Amino acid sequence: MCRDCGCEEGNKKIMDQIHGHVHSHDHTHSHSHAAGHSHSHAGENAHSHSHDHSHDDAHSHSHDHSDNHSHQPSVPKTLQLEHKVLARNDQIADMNRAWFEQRELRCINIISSPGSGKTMLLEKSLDALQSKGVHTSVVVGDQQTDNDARRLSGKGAKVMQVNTHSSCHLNAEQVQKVLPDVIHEETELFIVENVGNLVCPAAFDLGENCKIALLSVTEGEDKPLKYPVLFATAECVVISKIDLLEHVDFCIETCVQNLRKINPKVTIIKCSARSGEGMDSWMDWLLPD
Amino acid sequence: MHELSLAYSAIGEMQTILKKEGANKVNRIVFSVGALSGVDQEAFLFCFPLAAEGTPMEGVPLTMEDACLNLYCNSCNYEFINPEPIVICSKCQGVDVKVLSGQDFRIKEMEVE
Ligand SMILES: Nc1nc2c(ncn2[C@@H]2O[C@H](COP(=O)(O)OP(=O)(O)OP(=O)(O)O)[C@@H](O)[C@H]2O)c(=O)[nH]1
Ligand SMILES: [Mg+2]
Ligand SMILES: [Zn+2]
Repeated sequence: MCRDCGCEEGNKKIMDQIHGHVHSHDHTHSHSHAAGHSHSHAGENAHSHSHDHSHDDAHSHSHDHSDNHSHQPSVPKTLQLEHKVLARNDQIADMNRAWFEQRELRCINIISSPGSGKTMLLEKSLDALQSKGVHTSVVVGDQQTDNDARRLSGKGAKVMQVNTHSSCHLNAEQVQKVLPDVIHEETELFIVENVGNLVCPAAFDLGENCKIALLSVTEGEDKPLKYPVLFATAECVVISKIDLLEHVDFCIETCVQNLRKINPKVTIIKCSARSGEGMDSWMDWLLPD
Repeated sequence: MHELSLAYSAIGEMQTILKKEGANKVNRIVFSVGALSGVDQEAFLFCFPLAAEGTPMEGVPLTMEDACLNLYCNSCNYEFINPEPIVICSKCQGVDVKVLSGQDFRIKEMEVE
């Protein structure tokens, strides 16, 4: 049910929860039909008329209860909110970010479709990080199994698996919970391998310093255009499995052009965890300065 | 399915808002869906009633408004709106472009009493 997100739907949709159908309207003023058949006009202050039961002068109140009188008719009011739906997640993500900053560690959040090669890239990266003496911690998110954590163990890094069960992404709270266990005093680099999914994880800030997207050459060069959200917010895109280029009709130039259209400033690294080609550029990006 | 998580988050935030406002009835809700928010509106509308069950948000009419990408070009100081999720200046084709809005999924408006 985790559907591919395309945002190019109609301009405005009204949902009648009772009747369970959706109307699309292109114009700005839309009518939503609720159970009681009331018309609500978006953008207007509907029901802004003041109630008729306001106190006459003859009737002076001497008691000093404030506002919410049960015998008074309640007056509908429109709240202009612009309140983020993920406000709570973002708050926790900010706390995580502050925690990382305090410990002077860099956190990266790796996102891709299932099987693009996140774990294999990390297997190779952890070997290299170990030989360079970089203290690394890793959290791997998967719906089920600890296969990935097992693949990454024994390479000098502290690794923890988080199972998200039915959920297709990690959220900031799940990461916050494991931080004290997975991060130790010496940790310099904290890598999160998110649940394999090209859409949902991109919406959940974990407090990372940057997002990295993987796109393997077997997936097609149009993915950045089809799933713009992740590719627009990633600081670095790794085009993975380039050892397979000769076997697939994947045009790297087209892919790069598509990526630049969505995210002109993105760093693009082409590499193969299998053959080792391009791994140096990846490690250079992973360990700046 | 992250739209279900979004629906539960939205309900949680709205419960907090209702508490703060001392309100217990909701007449309508307007959501603003950024072009780069990654929200599948159909999926969200499917999930919302599940999350709203037993809360003041149950059965309330929802309006989904699309919010375009509002961009600003640092090279030519041009502010513009792009209906497509493409972050390039439409005037000078520059790439030093800042996203001002259109990345978020927001509860824009609620009518409460
Ligand atoms: N040829 C080739 N195969 C690769 C490469 N990297 C990964 N693979 C293979 O691709 C498959 C998936 O790799 P994983 O590393 O498990 O991918 P993942 O992104 O971690 O997958 P999930 O965690 O399930 O989302 C495995 O069979 C790997 O051996 C590569 O660079 N070249
Ligand atoms: Mg993996
Ligand atoms: Zn410009």
